[in-house]
Amino acid sequence: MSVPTSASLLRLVIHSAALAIPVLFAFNAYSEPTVTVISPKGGATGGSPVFYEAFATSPGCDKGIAAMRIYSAPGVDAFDVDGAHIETFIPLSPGDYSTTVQAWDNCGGVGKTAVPLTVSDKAGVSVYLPTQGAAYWPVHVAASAESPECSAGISAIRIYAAPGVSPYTIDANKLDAYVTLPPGNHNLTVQAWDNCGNVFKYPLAESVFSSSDAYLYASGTGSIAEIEINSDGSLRNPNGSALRRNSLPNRRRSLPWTQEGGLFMRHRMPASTDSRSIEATALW
Amino acid sequence: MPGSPFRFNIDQLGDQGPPTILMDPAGNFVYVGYHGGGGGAATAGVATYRIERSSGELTWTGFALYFGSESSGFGGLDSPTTDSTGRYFYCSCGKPTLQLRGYAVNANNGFLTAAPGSPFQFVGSPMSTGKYLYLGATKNPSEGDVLGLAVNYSNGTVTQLPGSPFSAGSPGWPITPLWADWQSRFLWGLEFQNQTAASNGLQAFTINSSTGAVAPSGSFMNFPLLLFFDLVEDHSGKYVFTGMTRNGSNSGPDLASWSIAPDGTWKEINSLDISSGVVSSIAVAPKNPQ
Repeated sequence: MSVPTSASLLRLVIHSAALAIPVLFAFNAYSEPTVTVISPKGGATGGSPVFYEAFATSPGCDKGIAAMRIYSAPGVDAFDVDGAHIETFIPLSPGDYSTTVQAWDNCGGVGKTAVPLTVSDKAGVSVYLPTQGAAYWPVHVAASAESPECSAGISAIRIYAAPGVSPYTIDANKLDAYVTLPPGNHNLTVQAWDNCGNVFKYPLAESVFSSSDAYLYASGTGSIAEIEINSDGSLRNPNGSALRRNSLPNRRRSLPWTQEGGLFMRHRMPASTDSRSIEATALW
Repeated sequence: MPGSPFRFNIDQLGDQGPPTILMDPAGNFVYVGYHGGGGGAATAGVATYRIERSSGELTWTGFALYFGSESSGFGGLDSPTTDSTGRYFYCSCGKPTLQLRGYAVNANNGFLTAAPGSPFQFVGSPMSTGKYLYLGATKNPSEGDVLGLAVNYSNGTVTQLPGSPFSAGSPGWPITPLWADWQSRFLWGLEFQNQTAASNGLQAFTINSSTGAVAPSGSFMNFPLLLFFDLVEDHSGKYVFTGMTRNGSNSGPDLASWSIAPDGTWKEINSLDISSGVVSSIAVAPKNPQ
C-alpha cells in the first residue's frame, strides 16, 4: 500500500481553447485517515481481555477506508478487519503496552492512533464501556473479567440494571452488549463469577441521555436511500435515492429493530430467478 | 465495508412469504422468522444468525425454533418480538393454531427455550414495551381491544394486566399490528378495517407506566387505503418516520416525517418520494458515534 508523499494533493487542470490558455488551480484538500478510538482510553489500566472499539474516516478519499489493524506492540499484529470499524476483545498478558490502531484508506493514506495501556493481573471486572457518568441510549456495555488465582477461569458475567434486575448474562469472560435503559439516572453493576466460588463486582453510576438522529435509511425494492433528518424533524434527500456508501461516516449507534451495531437489515425480494435472501448492509 | 451487503440465501427455508427480521436488542444475533406460503415443502420457524461486531457479517447458527412442515400441520409464525433487553422472545406462532409463545433467549448462542406455561392462552400479534407485552386484537373477546400482559422477568411467563383487555374506543376495528414508543409512553395501532377500506387509520394509546394500562388518546392518519410497511421512532422521542402507502397508490410520497404530540398522536412534517417502490424497511442513525 503506497503512502501519499504529501498530506495535500495539488491538482493542476489546464484547459486550452484557441489562443487563450486559461489555467485553473484546484486544491483538493486531502487528509490522512483519522482513527478514533472509543475503547480503551489511552493510558488506561484494565484487565484482560482488553476491549477495543475504533472507527476510521477519510473524508478526502471517495473510495473510503480499506482496512484497520490493532498492533499490540510495534510490528505485532493483533487484529485485522477489512473495513472502517473494529470491535473486538484482545487477550494480553499483564504489563505495559504501546498499542496502536491503524487504518488504511483506498487512496494510499494511512492514519493511526496510539493507545498506551497497562494490563492488570488483579482479579476482578474491567468495564471498558460505558465510561463512568454519562451514556447515550441504548447503553453500550463492554466488560471483561479475570481471576488469575482460579485456574478454571471465569464462569459468567452479568449486568444488573438495578438491584435484582438483570437484563443480560453471558457464560464467558467477556461481554459486549447494548442495554436498553430509559433516560435518567441508573446505578448499574457488572458482576462476574469465577469457577472457584469468587464473585467480582463493578458499580457504574450512569446518566442516560437520548439524542436526535441525523440520518434515515429506507429500503424499497431497489437500493438503500440515505436521507438527512433536519433538526426540526423534516426529511431531506440530498443525493437522489442512492446509498452514499463511500461518504458514510461510522454510525455505530444506529437503530432500531435491526440496526444496533450499525447494520441495516432487510429482506431482499427476488427478481425473477434470483434467490430469496436477507441482506445485511454495514453502515460504515 | 468490503463484502457488504452480506446476503443469505433463504430459499431453503421453504416456500414462504417475506420473512420477519428481528435483531436481538443486545446487538449480537439476528432472528429471521419465516413461515410457509403454500406447497408441501413449506415450513415455519426462526433461523438464527450471529453478528460479527467488527465487520457486520452474519453467521448462520441454526434454527432457534422449528414448527415443522405444512404436511405436519404447522400453524405459522407472526410478529416475533423481544422484550427490551432481549432476554425473552415472543411470537404469535406454533401449531396447530397461532398462539402467543414465549421463550428465554440464551445470550451465548441465541437459542430459545420455551418459557414455563408457553404456549399461553392468548391470541394476537405481540408488541413488547419491555415491562409489558401488548397484543393487537384479532380474536380477542372484543374486536378493537388491546390485550395487556405483564412479563415475569424471572422466567418470561406472562399474566394479564388488571383491566385488560383495554378498550380501543370507536370504531372498534381490529387493532393490528401494534408499535410501541421506545420510552414506553405510547402504543400505536393500525385500525385495520380491510385493505380496501376508506377508514383505516392509526389509534394512539397512552401507557400508564405504573400499571401498564393503556387508554386510547386519539385517532389520526385516516387515509383511504392506508397500508403501513414500517415505522421507526428517532432517538430523541420527538419524531416518527414511516414507510407507507396512502390513497391506494404505491407511487408518490412514501417516506414521511411526523412529530409526536403529548397525547401520542402525530402531525405530519413533510414527506418524500424516493422512487424506490414500496418502502419496506427504515432505520435511523445519529451523525456521529456516541
